[in-house]
Amino acid sequence: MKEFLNDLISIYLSLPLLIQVIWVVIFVELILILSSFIHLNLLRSRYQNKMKEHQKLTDKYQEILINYIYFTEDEIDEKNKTTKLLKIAIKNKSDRKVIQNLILTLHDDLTGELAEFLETLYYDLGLVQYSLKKMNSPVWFIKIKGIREVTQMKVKDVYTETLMLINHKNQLLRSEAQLTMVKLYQFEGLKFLDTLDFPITEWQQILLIEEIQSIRNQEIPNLTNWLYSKNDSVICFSLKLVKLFNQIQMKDDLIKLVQHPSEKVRRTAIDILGYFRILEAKTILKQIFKNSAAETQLFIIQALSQLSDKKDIPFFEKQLNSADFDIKKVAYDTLKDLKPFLVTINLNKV
Amino acid sequence: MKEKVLLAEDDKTLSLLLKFRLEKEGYETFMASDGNEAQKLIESSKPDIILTDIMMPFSSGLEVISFVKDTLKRDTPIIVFSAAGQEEMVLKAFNLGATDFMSKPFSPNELIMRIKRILMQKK
Repeated sequence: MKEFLNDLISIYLSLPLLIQVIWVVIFVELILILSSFIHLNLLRSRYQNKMKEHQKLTDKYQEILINYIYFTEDEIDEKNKTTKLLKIAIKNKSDRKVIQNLILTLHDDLTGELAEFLETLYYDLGLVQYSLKKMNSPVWFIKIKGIREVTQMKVKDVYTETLMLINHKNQLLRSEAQLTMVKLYQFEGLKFLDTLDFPITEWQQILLIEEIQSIRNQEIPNLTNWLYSKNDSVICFSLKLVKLFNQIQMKDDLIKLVQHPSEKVRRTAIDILGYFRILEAKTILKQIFKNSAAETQLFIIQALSQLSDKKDIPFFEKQLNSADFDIKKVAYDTLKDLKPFLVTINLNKV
Repeated sequence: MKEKVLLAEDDKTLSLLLKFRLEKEGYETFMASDGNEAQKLIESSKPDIILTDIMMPFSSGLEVISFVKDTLKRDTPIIVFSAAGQEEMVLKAFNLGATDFMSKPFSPNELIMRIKRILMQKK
């Protein structure tokens, strides 16, 4: 063996320098490939062991949990024993993860008594504390996980914690916190609008409105303060709520918003004035029409067409000369409704 | 003799929960975790009613319905479980011959009531 090695070394040393270097490179690469292969295999077997362990725990707690759900009143001792067992188990991180995951997944598929039972169990086992810990994590996506858990399990005592996340720099987290406020506290949760500094995106407004529509309580909060918010998106969102809940008694506020500095707020307010057919708005809408941007003019003329009567014929006739096709079209359509014969004559002239 | 229920659902926890509940109500329950297993069990156990999820590995709930109605030519009632956003699939399931459907999340109590009603009508 020694001789063989000596021979190998002497052969190697007799080679030109370039070949020697190539052999060294090949040798080093072979070692690297081999070590990576061993490392990957180790990682794979560790992952497989972890998965096996996870599956084992899942099977174990699945059975315990299902038996627990169906314990009868006669089996109170058994039930207490299982509660104790589960409370001890959740102190271990991997056991807790499995139990929490099982409860959350099952809760996702169930409604009624059983869903309520799982919510109580989540609370009784103290899993809420771990969700709250997640909410206090410095990492935004772990915070989101925590928020989703408390929302799903309808944990009500997280008002302050959630409210604190309303103005978080991460948009996804902000959105999740806003939705949680509405899901858990319904109209009461809308108070986050008082302190919201960031704009609410259109998509977020749609999600919030969808949640609001599912609220059974019909005691609609006072929307007036939000209509004068410094945050334009809060005003637009509140205007949508005014429309959704037919808050026609807020017409004076709506008329005031027609002169708001934000184009978007003005347009939303104008649209709602038309939708509610508030005749008092007619004069101001005509006044601001001339100096408004073309797109806002379209909103105004659309609103006015909802409020028009024969006295407005000259106004709409004037708009027939507008350079904007859409405005002209609304004017024609309105005139057709107000005085069909006159429009026919005018059209013939054109 | 106990009435037989076949439950095809890939979520094991939900399956076990329903199995437990069904057995408590006095039904003999057969569990399948995918469409292929469900088809084999249907052939061998001849259940009185089938509960199947729409989305399952290997073959879907729709294939299970088609297997029962078209291949085996049995009139076994079938209740389909669907998730939100699977309305089109539910319509397809009814076209294939499903008897009823339940949208997830659902109440196991309601499911039991539906099973009882369907089995009573069958008699």
